[in-house]
Amino acid sequence: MGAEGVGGLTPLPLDEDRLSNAAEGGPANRRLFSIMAVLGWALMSYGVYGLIINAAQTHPSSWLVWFLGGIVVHDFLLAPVVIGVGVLLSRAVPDRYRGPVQGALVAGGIVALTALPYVLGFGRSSSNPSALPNNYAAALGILLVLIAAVAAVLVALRRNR
Amino acid sequence: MSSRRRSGRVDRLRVGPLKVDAFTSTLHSQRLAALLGIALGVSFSICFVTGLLSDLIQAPPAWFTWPARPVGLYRVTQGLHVATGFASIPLLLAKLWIAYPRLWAWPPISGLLHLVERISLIPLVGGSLFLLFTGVLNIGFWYPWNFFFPTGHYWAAWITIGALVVHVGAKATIARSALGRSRSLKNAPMPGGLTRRGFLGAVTGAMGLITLTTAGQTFPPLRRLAFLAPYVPGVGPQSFPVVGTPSAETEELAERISAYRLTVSGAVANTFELSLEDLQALPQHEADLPISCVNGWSQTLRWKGVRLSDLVVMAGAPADSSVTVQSLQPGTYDVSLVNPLQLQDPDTMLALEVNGEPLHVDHGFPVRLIGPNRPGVTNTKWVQRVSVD
Repeated sequence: MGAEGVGGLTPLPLDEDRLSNAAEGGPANRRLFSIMAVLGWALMSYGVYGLIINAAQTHPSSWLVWFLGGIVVHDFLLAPVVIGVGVLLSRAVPDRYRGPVQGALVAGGIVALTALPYVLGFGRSSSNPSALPNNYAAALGILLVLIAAVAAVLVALRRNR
Repeated sequence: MSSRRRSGRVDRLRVGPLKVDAFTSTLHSQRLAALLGIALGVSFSICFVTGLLSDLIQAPPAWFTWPARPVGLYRVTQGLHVATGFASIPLLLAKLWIAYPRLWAWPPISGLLHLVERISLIPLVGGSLFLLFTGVLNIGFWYPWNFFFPTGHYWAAWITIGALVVHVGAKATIARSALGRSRSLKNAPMPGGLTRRGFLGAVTGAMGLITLTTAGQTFPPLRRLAFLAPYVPGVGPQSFPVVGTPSAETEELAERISAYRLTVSGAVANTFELSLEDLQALPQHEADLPISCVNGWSQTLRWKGVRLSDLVVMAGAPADSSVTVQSLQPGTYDVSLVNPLQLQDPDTMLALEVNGEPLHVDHGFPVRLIGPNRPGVTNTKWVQRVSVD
């Protein structure tokens, strides 16, 4: 998405608003944080308690796999892939047209991820034709074409400017 | 000297994403993080409150009584739960992207409070992804896990909302100062590519498309656009969706239905049984009521049947009783409770017909419970027993 790792190509703006991996000192307002941390951990403890006393329904080991699995998949698979695509774009697409292309990939990627479970359709069952009745692949295709069309218009406008 | 050597050694670990300036995209902005964070705080709060409410209605503790009116209240709260969850997907993915460099902050920990802050990110990120992912799969009837969805989703929500409280405590001050920055910084020049405004535009666009193509499952004006909705009002036997189907042994079910008797029993003066013909011979009542599914779809239909309170009074029990309605099909949702407020509502009935036809077996033939302001899953199908508590 953003052109990570290719800062050398163009000088970076000075920007105190930028979020980086620089050191941070922890919570800015220590008192507020302490109060909220106690409250938040009380709520979390209640959640863990409920999870455990209802173990027959929550199957904590399976639950934990899905709870932590999202972090692993997002932080170590999805985000690096997005960064990789961003780096490729920064090399392949001129600065001038890159914005609309990136924007289309952001919007299209999010819509595609959301629709994916229905496109795959594992929840379909012969005993219930009213579950997942649509052609979700076609619906997703139409949305992606729509997004691409908007990006194409924006690119065309920039070319004529 | 030795401390310098140690820091030199530690700095050698700063490779890959840990390197200084490894993340150069100006989209990683505190201001964007604050904006998206506030939006997520609001959307997750809506999901949490509407989700808790839905749980209270389905398993009411002694202090909680859910009224029968307004008719469409649950339709609104549960429609909001699912629609807000869908809209949170773009917000969450965008927020995680914006904040991603912080995952690789160096040094990873600076002090006890910072440790607590960072540890709390595990339940925050894990819980947020879990809730949205399991929610989307659940309404799509896909269960690749072993836990029972409502219970697993419910307790994950408490954990996530707790982690969110910790996170707000950690970030409120920095978010406020980021939002208060001067305009020149907000519009810092970009080295090319997507601007912050463009990024927000793309995320908002995705949110709009997802909402437009799913909200029609409960919001009639958008019904024709419900391309991505896992259920579509108007689609199904008798033109409305089915969630709970008759169990696999349909022949056995048909057999039981042919010998159908409704039993009215419990704390009553006289227990009695009624055949389907007996029920049809009783005074019939008609009402337009929505089916408001926990899965987020809803549809208003015309129902006709016997008022539940008529049966309770026939059995010699007071009209303000509590009643348990039981299905002839055993399963997770085979009983439901009707509280006194709902029993006394004239529209709470055992329906024999929908839109002028006898119920389809998938919709509960011969008899199903229907009432105003009830979650769809509590409108028990294939009713065989009414028990006064």
